Amino acid sequence: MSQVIALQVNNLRVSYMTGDQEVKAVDDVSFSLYPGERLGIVGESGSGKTTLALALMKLHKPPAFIMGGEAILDGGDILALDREAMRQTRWSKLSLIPQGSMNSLNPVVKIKHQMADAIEAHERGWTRARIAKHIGELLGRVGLPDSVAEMYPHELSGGMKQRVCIALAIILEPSVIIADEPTSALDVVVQRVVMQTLNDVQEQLNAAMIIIGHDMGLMAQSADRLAVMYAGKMVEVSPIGSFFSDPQHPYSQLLISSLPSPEEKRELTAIPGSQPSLLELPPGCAFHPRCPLAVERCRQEIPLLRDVGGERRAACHLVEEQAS
Amino acid sequence: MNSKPENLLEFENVTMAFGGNRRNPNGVVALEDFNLTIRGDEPRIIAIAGESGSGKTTLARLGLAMIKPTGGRVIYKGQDLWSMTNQQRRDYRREVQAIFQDPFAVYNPFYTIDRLLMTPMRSFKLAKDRAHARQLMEEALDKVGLRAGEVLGRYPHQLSGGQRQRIVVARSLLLQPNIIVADEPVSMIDASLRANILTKLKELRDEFGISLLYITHDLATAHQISDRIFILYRGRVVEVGDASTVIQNPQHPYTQLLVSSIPRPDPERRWEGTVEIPLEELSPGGDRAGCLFRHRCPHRMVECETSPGNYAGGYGQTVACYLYKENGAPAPLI
Repeated sequence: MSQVIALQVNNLRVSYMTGDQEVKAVDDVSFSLYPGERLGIVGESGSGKTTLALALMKLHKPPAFIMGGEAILDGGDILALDREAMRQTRWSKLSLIPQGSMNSLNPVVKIKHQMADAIEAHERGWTRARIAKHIGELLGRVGLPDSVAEMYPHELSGGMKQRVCIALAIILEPSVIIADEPTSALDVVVQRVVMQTLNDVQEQLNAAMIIIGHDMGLMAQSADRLAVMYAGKMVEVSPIGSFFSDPQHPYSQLLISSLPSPEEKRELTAIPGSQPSLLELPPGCAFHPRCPLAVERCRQEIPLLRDVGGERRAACHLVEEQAS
Repeated sequence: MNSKPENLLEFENVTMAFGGNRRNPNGVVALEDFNLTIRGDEPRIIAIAGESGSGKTTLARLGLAMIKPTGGRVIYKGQDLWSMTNQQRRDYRREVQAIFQDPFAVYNPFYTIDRLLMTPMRSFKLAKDRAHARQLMEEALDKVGLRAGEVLGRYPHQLSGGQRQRIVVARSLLLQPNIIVADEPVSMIDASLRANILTKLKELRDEFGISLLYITHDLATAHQISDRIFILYRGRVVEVGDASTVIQNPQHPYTQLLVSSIPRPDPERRWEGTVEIPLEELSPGGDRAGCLFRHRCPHRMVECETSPGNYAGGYGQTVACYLYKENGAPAPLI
């Protein structure tokens, strides 16, 4: 595909160093992100999705360390940037809506001051009037009235706070937005409104967006492509339509069949066993102890994420054999 | 209405208000005039669904006698929860068990799983001796699909969320309860294990004859396992009926909004249209006159300024909405 790429991540590895052990939370992850695209990343807790988001923002803290790889944004590797250069990049080119971000607002500072802080950290020359006007516009974009600027976070509901966080993330019109569980802890109707808002502002900016979450339903509603993480690795990346109609990796297949549907009552199939501890990963494919299709090769050889046709990639020996 | 002895748990016109002062004498009404009966002759899974602020957790706490209602009565086996004799209360405490949302918060991190399971057996003198206690523990763990060797002797941090939640279920089973009140039991469990816990909850009904009060915001899981569903909005029941009927043919405009907002795991069926939430509606207000949903309702009429009664919804459910006034009174709930 000869297309402009908004963000290209190559062989990213992030590990937690505990004592003398290395826990590979993100293990050799590569993906490209195109302008205007919404890439969903799903995985269970502990699969490495939040670590991935934090590492891309370089907001990870020890004992997490980036062990290798690169993330190309605007022609340069952001992982190689120094502190000051990274500070400039954050918010202006790449912004994060962190998990539980509505609780990240400062409770004793009015919304307008919190938003002005972010602007002033990047744009020194702006007058107060210009900042105030910009804040009004941003609030309007996320569907909030101007009066919210004068309020404190406790005066807002969860959904309104989350929309303030979206406004904060787009303050400097970044080309990449990372939203980590943007609607967890919100009610279903509010969730729908917040996702609509997020998708609208992303489309207006033509920004690329990474949506991290565990709710497959939400992904089906919003994402253009879906990546599945399991035990630190990406095991499948597919366009959203074919992901749900024809999932490639056995883990994806089982995830889809375990989803309850509001349309029909059916026996839910659970995935046997549980996700392995990253400290004692099984040899070969990390999913093989839970995989109903596992063969001898799966126990010995780690499958790589390979092209399996139809713009899909999967890390499974069986899928690979079928495709070739 | 006289409560018949075959009824296990009954909510009789239960109202719960918090606070209240001179300026706002009624306080914040979390649950209003709520009625529900769990019968003893047939185990059922009853879902209580609603968003935050709908009163569903208040309802769970009332059913567990954690709070005393400000109006009406909560009755177990014909006896008001708040005027029980010591023996009745003891029986009630054993026969009605709870499963909570957060399987990480209910454990004391310093105690092993054995102690968690032993404590109720000791308080209710269920085991004759140590060997018998061990046997009962193993049986209970086996029922939830855990091997005793995998979990006994371990500390909570050594177990996954799914395992912990299953241990909570096992702990309830030890006491052979009649009713389990489960408040969002799967909302913090990973997708791959959620189906497992839901299946276990269904087995409680089918194999052990335990009724379940399943409190949730997730209509899709409610639909999967429940027999009946109550939809709550700001403390009032807006729609009640057979779970599949209500979710497949929602009649109240609020239920319709909820059902259409379920993020379906199907990219072919994305949300249609945009939803606006009037901002004043985002913070629960004190005014409880009229239909509480009318500010957000696309069908708002003059009549909605007074509270609607219950009408037949057309598919067998009961709906509190004037749109169904012509259908007349609803069929009694069986």
